[in-house]
Amino acid sequence: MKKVILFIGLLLIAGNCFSQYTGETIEESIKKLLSSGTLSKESVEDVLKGAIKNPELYNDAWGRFVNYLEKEDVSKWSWLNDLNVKFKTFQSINSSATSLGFSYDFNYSYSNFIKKDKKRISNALSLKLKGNVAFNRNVNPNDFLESSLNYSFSMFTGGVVKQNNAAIFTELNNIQAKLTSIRDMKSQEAIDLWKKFGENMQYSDQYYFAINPRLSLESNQDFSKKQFVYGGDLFIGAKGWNNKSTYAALNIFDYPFALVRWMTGFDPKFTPYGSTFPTMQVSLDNVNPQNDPQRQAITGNLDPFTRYKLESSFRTFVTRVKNENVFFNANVRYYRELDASQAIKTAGLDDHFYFVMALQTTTGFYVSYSKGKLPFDAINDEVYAVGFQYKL
Amino acid sequence: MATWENTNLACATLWTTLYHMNQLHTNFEDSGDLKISDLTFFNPLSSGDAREQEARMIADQIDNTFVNARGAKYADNVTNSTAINGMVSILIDGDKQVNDLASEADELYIFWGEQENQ
Repeated sequence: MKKVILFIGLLLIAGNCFSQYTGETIEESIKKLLSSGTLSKESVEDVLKGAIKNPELYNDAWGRFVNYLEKEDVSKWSWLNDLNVKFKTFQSINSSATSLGFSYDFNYSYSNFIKKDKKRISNALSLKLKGNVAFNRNVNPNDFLESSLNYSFSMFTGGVVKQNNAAIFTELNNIQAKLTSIRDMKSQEAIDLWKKFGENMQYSDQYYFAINPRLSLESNQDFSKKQFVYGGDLFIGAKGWNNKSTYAALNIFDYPFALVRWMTGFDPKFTPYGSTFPTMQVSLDNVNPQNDPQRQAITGNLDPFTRYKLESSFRTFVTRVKNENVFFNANVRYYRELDASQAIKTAGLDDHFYFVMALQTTTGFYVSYSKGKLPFDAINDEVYAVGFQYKL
Repeated sequence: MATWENTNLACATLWTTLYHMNQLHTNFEDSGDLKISDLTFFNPLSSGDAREQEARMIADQIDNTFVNARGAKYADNVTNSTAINGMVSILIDGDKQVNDLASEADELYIFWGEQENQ
């Protein structure tokens, strides 16, 4: 009798589920069974066995469970929206054995922002969990779990002089309305309006500092094989948005291009930009080399290693020729492997220096020069040039 | 995508802000179709991480300008974080256009002069 009650319960819960074995829904299997006129204990058990092994039964039950919790207290269980659980049948690659199991994918992120008089602070945390778990792990062809935790702290200061005057806001809108209808930005009218605009809205130096540690664990489902991957970035930036700022004067990298802008009549006078002051990034990474034949040939393995990177970038506007904007871009990177083996050092693979610079136009014409090389795993970042490239 | 018109305060305010920041060098009419990769900050030679951090500085400065110097307010359910992240998602995509950034700004802010911000 108990089985008959369970049988009816299954009918109600999983009426639309597919039987993985017959291709029929459970409802169809039951109807077929009832109409066959041979309702024996064995035939009921057969249908129940099929239903119990059907992952859609559990997907349906899980969905109902989540809905129930969210109806009870949506604020308490809202994080379940970030969790995606799917029951499925795993099949061994080497045999016809199958096992019920589930895949999970959880993405949770939290960010908090604090605005103070002189600085803006942001904290962001994200947790990502992803994997496949078979109740019989021997038949799990996707035996891989990935768990990662990322945190980001960033702080900005300065950038603009705070204004709280409605008349000035309105005045800026009025100037803006005139500026947007002028085609020639070098006309005296435009120059005068931009001057007036700048008098009503003043920029200050902006500073940016960010630190982003990250940690992840890759493993199989019983954690007998696991690997921690760690790393982090430190980013420092400063911009002098006002062209009369100290950063504009200190930005000697922009001097040659300020000269070009002045000589081609784009800028009315020699004006280095503080807004293009170079940025700096320091990174520490645990590198998991893959498909690196050179490294494998030297060390005999592809074991993970730790490496730091220093990177700095610079880009500025050079001039405008007809409808083409011309930019100068530069990037320099230095990579160094920590505790590198003697074989790696001897082969010169423990450190890499890479410098590249390019003149580039809006439509993609490119003249580039590069020196050094990137490490094997970062080779995709190498510049692809259209036009002319010179490489030492 | 928003229509790139100077009567749209999101378009006009974004253009004056980017021009004043030396990020673009074209008149209003020619700026809507500019790609993000044509803005001064977008260095194609940088690593993706470095370019994203540059984009964060630009997004912060745009937000800073809108809110502190131009009288804009955040739209309903928009915080500083959502505004910055919304703009960064466009600023890191070199194929997007300035017009796309204006559309995003239009959703994130109520600009000075718009009816809701009087």
